Amino acid sequence: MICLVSISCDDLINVEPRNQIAPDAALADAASYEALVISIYDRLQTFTYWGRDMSLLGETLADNAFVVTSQASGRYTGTIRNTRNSHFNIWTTAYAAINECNTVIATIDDIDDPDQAKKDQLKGEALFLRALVYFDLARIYGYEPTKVPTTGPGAGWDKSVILRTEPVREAADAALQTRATQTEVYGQIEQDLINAGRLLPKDNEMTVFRANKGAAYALLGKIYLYWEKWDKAVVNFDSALNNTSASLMQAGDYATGFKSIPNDESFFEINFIQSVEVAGVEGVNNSAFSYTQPTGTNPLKLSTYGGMTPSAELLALYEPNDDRKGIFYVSASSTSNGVTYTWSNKYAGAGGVYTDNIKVIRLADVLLMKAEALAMLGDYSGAADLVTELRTQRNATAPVPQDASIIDFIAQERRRELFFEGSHRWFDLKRRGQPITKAAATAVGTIAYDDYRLLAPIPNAEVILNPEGLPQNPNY
Amino acid sequence: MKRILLCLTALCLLIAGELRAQERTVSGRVTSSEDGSPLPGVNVLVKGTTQGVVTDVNGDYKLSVPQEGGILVFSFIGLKSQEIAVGSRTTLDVPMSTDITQLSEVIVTGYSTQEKREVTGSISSVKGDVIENLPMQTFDRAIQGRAAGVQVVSGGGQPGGGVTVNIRGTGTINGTAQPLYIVDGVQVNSGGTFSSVSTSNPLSAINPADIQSIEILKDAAAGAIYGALAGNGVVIITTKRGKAGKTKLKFAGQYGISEQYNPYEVLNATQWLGLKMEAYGNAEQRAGGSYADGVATALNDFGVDDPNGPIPSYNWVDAILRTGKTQQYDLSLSGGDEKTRFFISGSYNNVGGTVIQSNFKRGTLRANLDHRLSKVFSMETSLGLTGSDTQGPSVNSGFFTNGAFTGGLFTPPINPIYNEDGTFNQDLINTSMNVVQLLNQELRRAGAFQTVSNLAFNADVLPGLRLRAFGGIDFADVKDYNYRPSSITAYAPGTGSETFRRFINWNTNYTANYNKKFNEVHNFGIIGGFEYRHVANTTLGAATQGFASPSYRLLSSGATPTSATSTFTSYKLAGFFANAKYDFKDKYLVSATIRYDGSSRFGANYKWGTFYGASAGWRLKAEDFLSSVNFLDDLKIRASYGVVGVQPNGTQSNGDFLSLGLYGNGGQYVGKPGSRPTQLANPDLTWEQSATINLGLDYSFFGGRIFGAVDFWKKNNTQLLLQRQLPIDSGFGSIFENAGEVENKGIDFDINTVNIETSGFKWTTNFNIGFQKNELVSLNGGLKTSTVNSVRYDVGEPLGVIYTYEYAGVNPADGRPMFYDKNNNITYNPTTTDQRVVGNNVPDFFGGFSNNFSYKGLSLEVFFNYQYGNESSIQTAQVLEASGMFNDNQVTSQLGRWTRPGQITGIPRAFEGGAEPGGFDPTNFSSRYVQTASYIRLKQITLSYQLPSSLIQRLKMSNVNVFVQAINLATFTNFRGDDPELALNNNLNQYPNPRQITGGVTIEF
Repeated sequence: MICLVSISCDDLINVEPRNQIAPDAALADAASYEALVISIYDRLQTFTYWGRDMSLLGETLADNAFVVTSQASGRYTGTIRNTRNSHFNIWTTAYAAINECNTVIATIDDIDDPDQAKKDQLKGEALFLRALVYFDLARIYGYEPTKVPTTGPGAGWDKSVILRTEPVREAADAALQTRATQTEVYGQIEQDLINAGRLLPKDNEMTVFRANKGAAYALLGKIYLYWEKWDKAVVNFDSALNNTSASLMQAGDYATGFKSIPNDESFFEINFIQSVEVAGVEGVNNSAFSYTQPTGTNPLKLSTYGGMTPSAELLALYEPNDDRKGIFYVSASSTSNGVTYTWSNKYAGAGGVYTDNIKVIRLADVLLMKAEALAMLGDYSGAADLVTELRTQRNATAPVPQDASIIDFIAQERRRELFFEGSHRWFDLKRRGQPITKAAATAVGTIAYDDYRLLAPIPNAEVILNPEGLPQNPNY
Repeated sequence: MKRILLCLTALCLLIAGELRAQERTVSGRVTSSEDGSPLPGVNVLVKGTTQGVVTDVNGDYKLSVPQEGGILVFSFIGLKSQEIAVGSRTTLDVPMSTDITQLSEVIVTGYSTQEKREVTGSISSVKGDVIENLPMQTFDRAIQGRAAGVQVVSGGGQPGGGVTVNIRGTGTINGTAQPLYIVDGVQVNSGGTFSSVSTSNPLSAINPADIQSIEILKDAAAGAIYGALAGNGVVIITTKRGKAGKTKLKFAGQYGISEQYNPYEVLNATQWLGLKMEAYGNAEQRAGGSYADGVATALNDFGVDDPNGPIPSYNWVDAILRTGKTQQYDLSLSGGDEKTRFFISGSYNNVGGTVIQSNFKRGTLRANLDHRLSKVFSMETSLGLTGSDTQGPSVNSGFFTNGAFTGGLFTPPINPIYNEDGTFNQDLINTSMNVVQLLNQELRRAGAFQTVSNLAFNADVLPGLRLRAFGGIDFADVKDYNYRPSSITAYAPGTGSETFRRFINWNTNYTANYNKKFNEVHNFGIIGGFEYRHVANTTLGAATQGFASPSYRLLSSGATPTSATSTFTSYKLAGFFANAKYDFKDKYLVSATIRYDGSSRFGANYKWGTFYGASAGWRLKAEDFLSSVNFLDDLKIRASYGVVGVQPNGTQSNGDFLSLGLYGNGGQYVGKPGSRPTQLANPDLTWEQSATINLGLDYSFFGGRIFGAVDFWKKNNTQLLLQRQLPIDSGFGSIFENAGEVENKGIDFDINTVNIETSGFKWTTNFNIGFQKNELVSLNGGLKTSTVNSVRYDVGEPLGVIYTYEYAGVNPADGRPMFYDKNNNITYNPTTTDQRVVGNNVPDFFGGFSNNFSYKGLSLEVFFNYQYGNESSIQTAQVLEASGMFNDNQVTSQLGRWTRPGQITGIPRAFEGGAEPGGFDPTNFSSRYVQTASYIRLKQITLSYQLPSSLIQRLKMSNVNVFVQAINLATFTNFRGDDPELALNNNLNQYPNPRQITGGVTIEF
């Protein structure tokens, strides 16, 4: 007895995934590319990136903040003391976003979709986002091109980050690479923003929640400011101002202005929808609101892990009538047994419980950056006019210097205006090569510019995988 | 090759009908030599022929024998087989006795059974009566320490919770490390948890009291018949079936209590405040202020006027714990006649956990039926139905304030639990959630309905040839429910989520099995077949937020939907298999197996794989030169080699689709959907292979007074399903490929002794131990180390290394924590490159040790299990042992922190906020928080008393047994962490296994 069985065996054991799809199906037309661009914005929302840390963490590393450990439940208690490894950690999120940018930039022109305007817009957005992410990587993990220290462990350290501009589509594309120099990375960012400015529509055709022409020029101006190319910075800030519908918050409006969505001044603002992006315990665990508001006694009566307060040194910078003081309030928390602290109400839950939009680029910042570039070019009165324009809308009346001292004055004005936003203070001190005089209450003292902690550590596993191409930053 | 043509050739067997000689009839009754009761179901065979019958309900048989009589062979599971020459007799009554040498014990080996004497692979067996009355909800827990080389790690004390079982070490990194479980032929889902809101063990579908036996196929040769699924061994569960004879009714009930095992003694408010004052003072002093100012700030912050006055203290640990109550009832009915046999059972469990609100309830029903339709055809079915409901706290590991144990242990004792008006206090220092309120008000629930059922048809077409068709299903519907009311402010505005999970898993197989003995000496058996399995899991879930009142608890009451999810994972397997075995005179035994398996989970060109195993045994006792050695009952040496497969771990995301390049969910922004690349393709991805060589010895001496087995084994997993670490700057962390090798080797040793046996008194001992050594031999492309998903791998080290900073203690001069740098110099501030391997999770050996004492009807079992030589991190200690540097409550050891120059202590001085400027936070993970987790645990003591038969027969009962037992009564360990049994790396918020004491009764009619 012989039995013969013939079966089409591979058909028996075939299963297609349903939650995920093949890459060519996922990138078929402009609409599917838009979904990929949306993913990049989604990555920006990550709390350890623009969702929170890019706004707040640098403030704790620098001098604008003091973290009350008894209220903070461990949040930012290491960064406030600048302990080793307490630093930004955006490596994973940033490079995932960059690969998606690279995919859009390298392949969107190949698809067969007649909507050229849409394709241009999406490519422009990807270029802007790639530039933004590389800029963040470059300034977190490396020195600015003109500010490499000559002393200390980082003397002569011209290494920036790994520069990839081609998408990784298969394993072979992921070969190890070498850290580029600061100039190479800045050059790439410059190129991307020039192209983005050309391709992107204005914010009135888009929304400030997505990349737009004005934001691209503003960011390009900022790159030049970090690169100390003052004249190019001024030119691009002017282009930014000519391509935006942003307007200054008016006198008396500062404190309430942060509750409007979007902010009047925004060039580019990251939007959050509470019900899907800050739902569940996300808010209490991770939001900027939770980190900066007192638990229980905040305006929304929510539980928080609020330990981050403005430092006494920051509060001392305001003149009595300055509108911006109105955003601070003094309160005990429900667990501080009557002990009061001063809190910032910049993150007030404007978008729902624990939810606030994050301002990446706004007008006051652009005006002050332009003023700084002018001052560096010696145009002190031009700079003073811009600073005065801003201060008038803040009811700050002290006179603005008309000489070289305006440069330091602008740095202070940036603290007064932009504290708890964009980690501006940390990056401003770093790009200007200045030491950090920590809040006295932290007991840390002064951190010299050539201290190794000016740079963030690269994730150790990456260094071990790629010791030749990706040496660790000094002293980590 | 897209299509494969496969031929299955069954041997064409020509069996010559034997000419029947003149015959006559012999009849008789088979009884138990112990109590004289009739034995139904005993096989009676005329030796050398296929002529045979089975005894009936009364133990009677009637059989044609050759005129000259011949020899009758009487055999039955668990009884000593007998061969008796009929001679001229026409009636032959036979008393049969229990086989203490276990040689005729029947072992289920996959698609067939073997007598233990014939087995040449490495198989451990646990009988149902060992686990029958344990107050454990799943059998995987119950086999802990019962089988050499089988490491059982319970997932914690949540009733009905998950368990991991490692047979002969872990050889895989991303493949499934769990054995294949087969319940009455159905390949069931196992491992992990059914639910995301609480831990829920898929194997809870099976009531342990229904189990007849558990066989554990440990080596590749034994498992090869399951080919690609057998890489981590196979656990075969056989449930009880009816026996012909009088219907038996059995009832068992027990009731008990359980109490939490908690190794942590935490501070009271006065002690805690003392540390805080010191921490503030030291920090203030360091900042240039005065110590007294720091102390004043502390008193201010914590609202204490007089630190020397009485400070109210609140015990949060006690507040989350309670005495758990266990109830368990089993009822079964079994019996039948020669044609139809049945086993029907029902059970109910209600186990209250030791954490408030944690609970497990289950009801099971089972009907196992066997029916012989005709001389040729027979059928079997097993129908099981289980409904269970698990309610419990979040057992997610991690620093979650909403974890029962993290909450209970860490909340500072100065926080009142309740406000003066009796409501929950939600204004708490150091945490946003009142864990007692959380446990009471948050609902976390998983309800499951499961069935593991099958139906099989057999056709005995020729003597010795059986054809069998089998179909089985393991189906489960699980509903997760999680409701977080807005009365808990951190959960504002109140959220609810529900998830339905459906698990469909069916398999079917068709086998032909032929056994024949030629010329009295050549015993030959062959089995061949085809099997198909299909697994599909789907989930459907939604969440809403914003409830008008905490009393509304259904999703539709929520104001805003926040998420909707649906997921699908599935795989299919097909396999062809054959096994041939042969023995000569019961003396030389060989067996060979081959299986050709295909899986949907692998790359387009690599879906199919061939697996095989071969084994041989030599029964020395059957040799003439040993036949006269009387003290030796049996001695057999065994050798085997086999290569089987390891599948991807299905519980990891994409586990079913690892070879594909994929795009998936890319979040959302401004209300638009995102899509993003999630995985790079590897069309060459294929099976991980596990090759085991096993050398074993089975022994039995002195009429069964000493018996057991010893096995030496080596298992090499090659072409591992290994994530090759990609540079993160590529946008991907890793890609799956086949690379690398892990070697496990070890010795399994098992010995059973009857130490004393006098009239009435008996003392027996079982001891088993498994030694093992694990080593990562190679990684992808010659890498020496790799870190994937934050897990570190080092070539030359075991899997599960602990890689971190080495703690050097406290500088007696200033109280600051010190570490070793890479040159072994002392540093205050180590760098990442100073990290090193400080331990690993692999035990050197583990096992179990049990003693049974019986006198008349009274018996006592004392069972220990143990494990030695594994290190574990203690994450909880990172919080509880922090010298009061943060606000979390501390363990009392922290009162020994450094306070004065010259003091020798391992505990740094208190310094508010952790790291001193220029220093390193001593609560960062380091070897300070790593400890060896060796232990011996008094796992079980059972005292039982069987009522005298004279008494119970008057009550019309056949057996009455009353018992009390204690589980986890005592643990001997130096480990200061939660529970040495749970000593794995990610162990924050663990629910340690409780102590349990139950008492009950078993009654048979």
